[in-house]
Amino acid sequence: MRYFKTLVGKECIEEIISSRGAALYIVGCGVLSVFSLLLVSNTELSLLDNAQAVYMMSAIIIALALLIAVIRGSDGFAGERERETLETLLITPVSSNEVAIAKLMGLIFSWLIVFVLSIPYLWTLGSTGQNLISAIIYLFVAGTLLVVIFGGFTLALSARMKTLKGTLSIGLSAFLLSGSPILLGPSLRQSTVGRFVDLINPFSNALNMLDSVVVDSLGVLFQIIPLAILVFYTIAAIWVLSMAAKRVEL
Amino acid sequence: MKKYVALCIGFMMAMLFVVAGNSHAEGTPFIQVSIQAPTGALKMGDRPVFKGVVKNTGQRNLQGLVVYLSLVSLKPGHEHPVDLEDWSAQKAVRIDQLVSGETNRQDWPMRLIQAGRFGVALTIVDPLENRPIVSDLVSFKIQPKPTVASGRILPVAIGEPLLLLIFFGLFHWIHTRSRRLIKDVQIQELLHERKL
Amino acid sequence: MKVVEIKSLKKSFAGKMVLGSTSMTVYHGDIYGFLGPNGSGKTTTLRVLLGILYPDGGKVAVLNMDPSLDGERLRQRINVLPESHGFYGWMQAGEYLRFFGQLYGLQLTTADCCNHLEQVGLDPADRRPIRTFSRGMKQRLGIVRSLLNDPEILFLDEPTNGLDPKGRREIHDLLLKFNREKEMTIMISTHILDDVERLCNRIAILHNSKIQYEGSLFAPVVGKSIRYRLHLADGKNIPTTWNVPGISCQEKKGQWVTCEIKGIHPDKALSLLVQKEIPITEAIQVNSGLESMYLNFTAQGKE
Repeated sequence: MRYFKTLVGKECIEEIISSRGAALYIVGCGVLSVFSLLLVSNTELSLLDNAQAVYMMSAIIIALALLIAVIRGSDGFAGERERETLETLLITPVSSNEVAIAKLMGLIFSWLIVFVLSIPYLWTLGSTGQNLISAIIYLFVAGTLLVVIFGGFTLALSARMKTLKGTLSIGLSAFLLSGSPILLGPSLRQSTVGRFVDLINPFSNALNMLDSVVVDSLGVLFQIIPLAILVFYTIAAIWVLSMAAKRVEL
Repeated sequence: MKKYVALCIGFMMAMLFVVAGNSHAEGTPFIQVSIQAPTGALKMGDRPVFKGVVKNTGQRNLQGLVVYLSLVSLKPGHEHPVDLEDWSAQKAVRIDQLVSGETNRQDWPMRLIQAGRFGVALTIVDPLENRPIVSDLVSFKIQPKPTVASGRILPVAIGEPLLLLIFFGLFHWIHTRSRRLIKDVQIQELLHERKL
Repeated sequence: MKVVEIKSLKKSFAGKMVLGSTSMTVYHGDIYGFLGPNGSGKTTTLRVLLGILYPDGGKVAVLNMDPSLDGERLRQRINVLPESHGFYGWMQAGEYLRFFGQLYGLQLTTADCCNHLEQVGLDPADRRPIRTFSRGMKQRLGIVRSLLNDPEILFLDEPTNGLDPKGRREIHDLLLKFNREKEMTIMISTHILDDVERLCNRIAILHNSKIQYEGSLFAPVVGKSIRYRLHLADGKNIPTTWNVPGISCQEKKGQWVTCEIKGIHPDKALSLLVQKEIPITEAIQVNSGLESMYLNFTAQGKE
């Protein structure tokens, strides 16, 4: 991994320099601003206590981070292929695995930017309430694992598919599918099928974990199972990415 | 003379009976209405049910009674009627028929969306009568609930996207401009050396 | 010494055979021209040599290494200018060279970047992002990137694409210089026969998934006709025919005669003319016969 630092550096600088990267973060901030304003102006939402407000904001932050991860993950190989920069990169002494891991680190860097940007919102919502520090810590852990999961799988797809459009379609569909059970009513989620889906869905697991920490004030011991599931998916995503990157399609 | 006095007294008594009869009709309602607040402390966000009772105490059966709920804020100095739009989906009910002696009970569920002191009353309208009947005003207190401090949100919600815009613009400018300044000097020196 | 050796290389895409039992050899110091029509498999062959595409069969060795097994080690010693190569548009030229230099383990200084950019006629003081560059400027930048690590073998796919005649000549001179001074082996895949004639000493013609011809550019080959302009001492008594097999007069103008040599080595043809006492004072090769040879072999391949 001799060239790792160079590759990661290029991914991180591109994140900030390119107008595409800047636009994503500014729009993301705008979404968080709108939601936080809704929390005070909307009659329904203004009844929420601090903990619930922090939990809802955390869910929005994670959704935003995952959306960015899926978009940038799709662009990882497929976008470079379309811009004809992939071949130029692969003809250097770097291995395709190094390129893949560097791109994954770039996605984590994106997540770090989103996380840092979200802290002021969380502080304004939750500093007078309970469990803010726990919320921030668990948000960081869950968000990082989820970004690796969704970003890793999308990068793997990007390495094998020919077009950016195709990769993005599948990536966004997977993201929406994993987020859709959360939109089901509580009664449906309490059913056997709903519980099973919640268990295997990393997005649901992360949100349930945040709910139990922030709203219900439950400790670390109660988070072992959801954390274990997230770690399992993370390892699977990294493995799938390394397999896919071994034979990148040009 | 005695005949005249007896006639006058009789007329006056008859008048008295008429007036008394009317007074009885006005001062003694044939509908009794009451509303009862739930017991226990109430706080913002709670969904209590108020109990209403309407009894036909008159001789005749009543049809088409309209019963509606009224809410007022009793905050001293700021008393005002409260729009029930966000508080209750059920603002009025219709009683098709209430026979003499019958009692009708209603549930009035509410969602307490503000803190403070409030009063609630039930009003009944009989289409055959020209004066509605109102229950006693039942007052209750709603405790506040700790919620989001709205004063801090606006600076962050507006300020952060703006700051971000400035930051990216500045970074882009620094990335091109300062490196240009440094490298230009070095390149100019190199080219100058070559010319020499 | 063989630096590139391909034996019976096979590659198919989606059931369609692109390379079928292709064999070729490149020697150290060669400037090797790789010709063929569009879709003949030239780029596929290059990608297999680089180890970024895996063959279906056959044996490939570059600098005695198997590209599919030792790709990373091999790519440290070689470099490529692909035909379609994009750039990171947000980077400046110097940044771009520094980035790729680091991927080859080089820490380029400002002076290094200046030298490299000037070598190909780019302005080192130009701070515009690459996305604002013209096609020719991008091509030059690509060429300089491909020379960063002083490769032992340089693969070029259409290197003079987008360059004006002056630019093409500069690139030719640069490549000849590197070949001469650093003994760099160069393999050029191109459609521009002028480039091949000027640069290459050996060529291969790929057509219908096979190498139709491989050998010296100057060797006499069936179907190849070379034009020469001969200056005769006496322009008055030029015979209508010279009765030398393989040589035919095309045009006479004053003391100059244009003739076509076919199926015989040009040196032998000229010596035969001298033996016939034809007073040749000067012989100028007009073309190498490459075009006719190319057309002949690609037409043959169709049959």
